[in-house]
Amino acid sequence: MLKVTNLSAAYGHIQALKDVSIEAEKGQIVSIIGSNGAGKSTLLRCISSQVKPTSGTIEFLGKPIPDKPHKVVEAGIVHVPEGRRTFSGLTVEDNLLVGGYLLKGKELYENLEKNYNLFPKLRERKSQYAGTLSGGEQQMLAIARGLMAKPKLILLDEPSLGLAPIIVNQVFNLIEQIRDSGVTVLLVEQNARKALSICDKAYVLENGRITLSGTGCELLNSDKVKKAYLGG
Amino acid sequence: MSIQIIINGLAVGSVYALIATGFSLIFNILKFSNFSHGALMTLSAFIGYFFAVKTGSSLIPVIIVSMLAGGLVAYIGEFVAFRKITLRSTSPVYYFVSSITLGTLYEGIVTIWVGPNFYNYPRFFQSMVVNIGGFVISKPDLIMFISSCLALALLVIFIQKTRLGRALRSVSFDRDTAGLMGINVFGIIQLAFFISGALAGLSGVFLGINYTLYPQLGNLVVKGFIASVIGGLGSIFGAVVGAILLGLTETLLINFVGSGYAPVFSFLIMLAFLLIRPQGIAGSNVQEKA
Ligand SMILES: Nc1ncnc2c1ncn2[C@@H]1O[C@H](COP(=O)(O)OP(=O)(O)OP(=O)(O)O)[C@@H](O)[C@H]1O
Ligand SMILES: [Mg+2]
Repeated sequence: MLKVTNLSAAYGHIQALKDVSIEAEKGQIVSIIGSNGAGKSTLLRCISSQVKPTSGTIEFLGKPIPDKPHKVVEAGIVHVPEGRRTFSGLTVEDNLLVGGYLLKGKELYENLEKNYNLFPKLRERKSQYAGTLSGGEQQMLAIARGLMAKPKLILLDEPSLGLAPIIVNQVFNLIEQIRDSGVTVLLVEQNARKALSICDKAYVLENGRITLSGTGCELLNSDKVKKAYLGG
Repeated sequence: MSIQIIINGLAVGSVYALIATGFSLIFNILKFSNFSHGALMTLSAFIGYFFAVKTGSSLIPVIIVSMLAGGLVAYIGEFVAFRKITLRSTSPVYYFVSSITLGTLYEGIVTIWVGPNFYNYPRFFQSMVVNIGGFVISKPDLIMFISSCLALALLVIFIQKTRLGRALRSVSFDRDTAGLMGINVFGIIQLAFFISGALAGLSGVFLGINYTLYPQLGNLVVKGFIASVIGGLGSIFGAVVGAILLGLTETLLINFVGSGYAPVFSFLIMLAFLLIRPQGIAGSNVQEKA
């Protein structure tokens, strides 16, 4: 479904990705783990066309991805960025409606209803400004806003960052639910244990290169991963 | 104090509100003060004037022509003067320089075209006053007030309730993230410029009717600027309240202390706001970039 081949990207002189190749099949959760500055967010930004790669290709459903971020959404890929980035001065409902910008009329409001059922908390808070939500609620809103576009593939950048353990569990449950509903998930996480335990396939990104890949189970049992990402 | 003075103050204030909202739209979306707005008011008012003279048309078509002209010129202006700056997201100072240059260009075009003279719109109304419940009220004032309120109400509904309006708000808050929602960010920026230009056209015609038409008419944009400072830069609601307050105070002052002193008071009001409540009435905390 998604095929990234020999991708390299740079910010000026800083080389952020070198020869990265990854693949995701329909209905999978694919995790990417790596430490700070490894290039995880850059990889997602390349897939959503926010960053232009210096070389390599990205194909989605057999076609190269479009060159503008909004066209990538039209193609069926939604990127939920790092740090939530909800529109703080818009209400919860307006945030969701903006997420469903490409849907028209009835379909938009049906999908809104569906997401309210998935996130009952957001329904309670629908007329509140997004900026006044708690961190966990904002993360839920960011994910729900992404789902509003009815993506085929959703890119999640560190959705558990800065959340209390109980909320982290909710987020991971939710990610499994999203996969079960037929949406492919590309998950970037620092919480390696959780990310590896729910995924079908995983990649380790170090200094802009893929150094290891395998099923979640394989990586959970790899000595190298245990040492570097699972705390021994 | 006569009801006529109040109506006049409201009319003037509502035109200031049109200026201030046109200005705020761009401020919100690109975070800079668009100094070409005033000259665009003049340019589109003159386009409306020549249309009126050539065709002998009534007020409504003149307004429509001026609004379309203002919108179109602003749309082109965005592409020519601001697009590169937005794309490169370099220093916002360039917006400042570019908008002043663009304004000077518009003013230059008008001066070459019409010379330094004063012009008057044709008389659009048979009678200049209407009699409502025993009060004699100036017809232009009444029409200005009603149409400005109508335009502002439509704008608010558009921004608050429609799909494109929501997109406009989200682009104002966070351009990159709005792009991730499937919004064509530059399309929305162009839309904002078109609307802002159309508002410039509308306010230009009304200013031309209220005063006279001359190449420096656009300097009155400063009233819109004061209004948006009083209201809180970037807040459309604040700009409207600020503008009405400013229009009323000015008109009252002109009647009580004379027209020479009124502008002095406008600036005193603005300075007082900057000292006491720099965030303005609505207290929006947008940081200005240039
Ligand atoms: N806008 C930018 N300009 C310049 N350098 C950047 C920019 N964004 C990222 N970088 C650099 O690119 C490299 C990869 O950054 P990236 O954000 O992709 O890392 P990451 O794996 O997502 O890290 P984290 O886990 O901290 O989010 C880093 O060295 C970073 O400093
Ligand atoms: Mg990151």
